[in-house]
Amino acid sequence: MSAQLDLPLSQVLVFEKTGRVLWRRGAPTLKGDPLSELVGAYLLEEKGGTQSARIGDHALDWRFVNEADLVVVTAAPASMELDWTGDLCDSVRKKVAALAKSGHVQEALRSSFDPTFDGLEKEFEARLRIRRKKQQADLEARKARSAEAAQRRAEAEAEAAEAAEEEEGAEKTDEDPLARLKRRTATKSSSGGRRRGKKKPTDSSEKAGKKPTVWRDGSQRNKKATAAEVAALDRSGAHGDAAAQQAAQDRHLEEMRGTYLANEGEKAAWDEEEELLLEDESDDEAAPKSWFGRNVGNLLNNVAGSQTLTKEEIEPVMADLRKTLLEKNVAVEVADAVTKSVADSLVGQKVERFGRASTMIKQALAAAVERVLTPKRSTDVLREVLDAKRKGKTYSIVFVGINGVGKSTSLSKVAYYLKEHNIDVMITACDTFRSGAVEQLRSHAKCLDVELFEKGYLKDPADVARASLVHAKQAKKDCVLIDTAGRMQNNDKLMRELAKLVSVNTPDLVLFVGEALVGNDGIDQLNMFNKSLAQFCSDGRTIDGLVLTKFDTIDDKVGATLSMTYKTGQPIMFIGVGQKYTHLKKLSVNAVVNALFK
Amino acid sequence: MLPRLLFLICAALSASRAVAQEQQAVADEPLQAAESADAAPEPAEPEVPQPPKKEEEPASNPIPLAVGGAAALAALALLLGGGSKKKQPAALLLGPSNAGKTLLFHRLVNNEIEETVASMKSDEGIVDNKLLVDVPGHRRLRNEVTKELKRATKIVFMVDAADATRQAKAAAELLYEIFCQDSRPSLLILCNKKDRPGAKTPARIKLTLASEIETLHKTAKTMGSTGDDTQQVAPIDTAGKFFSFESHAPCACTFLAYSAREDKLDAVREFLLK
Repeated sequence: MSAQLDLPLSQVLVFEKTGRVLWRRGAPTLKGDPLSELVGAYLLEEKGGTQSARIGDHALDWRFVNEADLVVVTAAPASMELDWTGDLCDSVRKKVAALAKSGHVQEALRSSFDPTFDGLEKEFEARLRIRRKKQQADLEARKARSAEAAQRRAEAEAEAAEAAEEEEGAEKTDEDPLARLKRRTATKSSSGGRRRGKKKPTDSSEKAGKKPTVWRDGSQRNKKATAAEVAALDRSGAHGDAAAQQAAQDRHLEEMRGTYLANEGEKAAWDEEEELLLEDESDDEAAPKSWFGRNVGNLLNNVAGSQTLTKEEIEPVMADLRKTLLEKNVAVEVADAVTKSVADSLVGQKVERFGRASTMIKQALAAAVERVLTPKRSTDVLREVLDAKRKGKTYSIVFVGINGVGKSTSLSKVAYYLKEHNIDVMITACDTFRSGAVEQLRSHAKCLDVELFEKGYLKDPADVARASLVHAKQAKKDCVLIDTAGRMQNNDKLMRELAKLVSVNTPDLVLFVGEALVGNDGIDQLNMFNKSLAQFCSDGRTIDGLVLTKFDTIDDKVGATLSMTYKTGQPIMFIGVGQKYTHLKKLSVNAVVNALFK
Repeated sequence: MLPRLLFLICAALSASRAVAQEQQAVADEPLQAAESADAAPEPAEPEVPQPPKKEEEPASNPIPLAVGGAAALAALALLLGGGSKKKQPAALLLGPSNAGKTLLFHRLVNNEIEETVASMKSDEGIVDNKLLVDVPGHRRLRNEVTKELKRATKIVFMVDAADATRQAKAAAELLYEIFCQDSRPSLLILCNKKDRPGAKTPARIKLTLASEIETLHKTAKTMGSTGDDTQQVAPIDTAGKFFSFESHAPCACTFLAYSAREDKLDAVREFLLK
C-alpha cells in the first residue's frame, strides 16, 4: 500500500464512495488535502464530469468505476503540467472495472492490484521514453533547422549588402530546395500549433504546457545531444561516403517521420495509437483472468434478476428529465451539465432488484439536485452576526448585483429582520453613481428607524464603505449593510470599483442579488459578474451567497435556484417573496426538489 | 421484467438452497424477517440483521426453504406494491467531515484500520449483531442525515478534538438537528484524535458546543422557509436559561476523549450494546 511510484506522480489511489481507500501508491497524504476538496467541490456538486482539475498544488484526474461504486484518482504536482495523467487514470479505471466485473473487487484490489499497476507503470514509462526520444529528435531537428536558417540569413544579408533587388530574387531560386522545404514546414508547424490553441481555449493551458514539458532526465539528455548527431541531421551539409550516408539517411528518415508526426498529427495520432495498444492488452489480460468469474457472476445476476444500466437505457429517460428541468426554467447549460454528470455516474450501475430503471434514474437526478441545492455551509446570517457580536466585532454585508433587481429592497428586508432580533443595524449608501439612490435608501432607513451612513455622491464607494465601518465600530453597531450601485457585469470601470470596495474592506459576506425569474442570460450575467469580481479583486474573492428576489412571481418555475447554486457553488441565503419588509424567507430545498420532479 | 420474475419464483420454489438464499437477499429485510417469524418460529436467527446490498458477504444463517418461497411471494407483493422500503433501525455514526467516522466504522465492523477519504455515501455494517450506519459528514449531504435519523436507535457522535474550534459550528448544527427530531436516541460524543497536539478536552468541547447550540436555539426559527412543509417545533425548552447538555438536551449525552485509531473499542461497543 505504501510502495513508491516510479512515474513522476504524487499519488494514485482507488477508493470507495463510502470513504474507504482500497488501494494506493505514493504519498500517504497530500499537502492541502486536495482529495477532500475534490469530493466536496467537484464530486458532490455534480461537477465530476470534468474529470480533471487543479486543486491547490496538485493536478488531479479522476474516473468513476460505477460497477463497484469506486473512484480512481491520480494526483500529480501541478507545476509539472503532465498531459498523460488522464490516460493513466483511464487505464487504471479499465483494469479496476475488469476486476469489478469478476466480483469481489475489494479483495482483488487489495491482494492483486499491485502487479497490475506495476505493468501499467512500465507501459507508461515506455510510452514516455518513446515520447522523450521523439521530443529529442524534434528538438535536434529544430536546432539544425534554426542553425541552417541563421546561416542562410547571414548569407542573404551579406549578399543583400552588395547586390541589387533582382539579384536577391535570383539568389532565392538558387537556394537549396530541401532547405526551402524545411523552412516551409517549420512555419507550417508553428502556425498549426497556434491554430489549435485558438480552437480549443479550454485545452490551451494543457497544450501550451505540453511543448515545454521537459523531463528531468530528458533535459539532460537533450543537452547531451552531440554535435555529430546535429551534423547527421543537417543533410545539406553531409556529403560523406555512400554507405555512411545511406545509414544516416535511414536514420534521418526515421527521425523526420517522428518530427512530422509530432508536428502535424501532434498528440492526437500518437496517443490514439498508444490507446489502442493499451486496450488490446487490457482485453487480452482481462479475458483469461476473469472469464470464469465473469460468467458465473452473469449467471447469478440473471438468476437474481439484476442488471446493469447501459448508456442506451439512460439516455431517453435523461432526455425527458432534462426537458422537465428546462420547462422549470433551469438554464440549458446547467441542465445539460447536471444530467450528463448524473448519467455518467449511472452507467454500469446495477439496477436495484425489482426496481425500474427509469425510477432509479429519476431518483439519482433528484438526489443530485438536492445535493447541489443543499448549502455547503450555514445560511444562518443572524447566527453569524450574533457570533461577531459576542466577540465584539461589527459584521458587514455587501449587496451587489446588476441594475433593478431589488438590491436596496432586499437590503432593507435583511435590516428589518436583523433589527427584529435585537441587532443594532446601520445602512451604508455606497451607490454614489445613480442619482436618487441615496435618497431612496434614506427613506428606507427612516421607515426602518435605522441609522444611514452616506457621503453623498462623487465619492469613491470604497472610501465611503471604509469610513462607515470605522464609524460603525466607534458607534458599537452590530452589523453594517452596504448598498452598492447596480452594474452590468461588462462595465469594467464599475466592476473595478466594486472589486476595490470588496478587497479594501473585506466584508464578512458578499451577497449577489438576482431575480428568481432569470433564465439562461441571467446565469451568464451571474457567471461573468463573479468572474469579473474575482479578476479585479486582489485576493480573487468572489460572492459568498445569493439573494433571490421576486420568488413570488415564478409559481413552480424554480429553475433559477438550481442554475445559480450550480454555477457559483454558493448557497441561497435569502428569498424575497413580496414588497413588504417581512417578505423574506429561507429556501426550502425539499420544496424546490418537489417542484422540479413532482 | 415478468419472465424474469416468473423464473425467479420458480427458482425459489424448486428449492435450490443457494437460490433461496440469493432470494432472501433480494427480499426486503424487514418483510423477510416478518415472514420468517410467521412461517417458522426459528431460534432468533432470522432476527439477526444482515447487511443489505452486500452479496459477497457469505450468508451465515441457514434459512428454511419455506422461507425462500415466502420471500419470493413477499418480493412479488413488494413489486406490485411499488417497492417502497422501510429502513431497519440502526445505530448511526454522525459528526462533521474529517472527524474520523469511517475509520472507526471499519475498525468496528472489520476490525481493521483503513485509510480513508471524505465519504460521499453512507455505509452499513454489523457490529455485535447490530446494524451500524456510517453517515457522511459533508454539509451537502445533510439530507442524508435527516433521512437516517428517522431510524436511529443510538448515535455515536464524533468531533475532531484537535480541530474542535473549526468543527464546533458544524457539529452544533448536527446536534441541534438530532435534538429537534422526534426519536430520542442516546448519544456517545467522542472527542476524537485526543492524542494529537492541540486536542481540546471533552469538558472544553462540551462548553463550546453548548454555546453554539444556544445561538442556534435563538436563531433557528427566526425565518420561515419557502416550502409549505412546516418543520417540527424545536423541542428544546431552556426556559430562558443558557443551554446546557445536562439540563436541556432531550437525550442522554456522554462525552469521552477518544482515539479511533489507537484506543480500545470497548467503550463504543458497550455503548452500542447497552
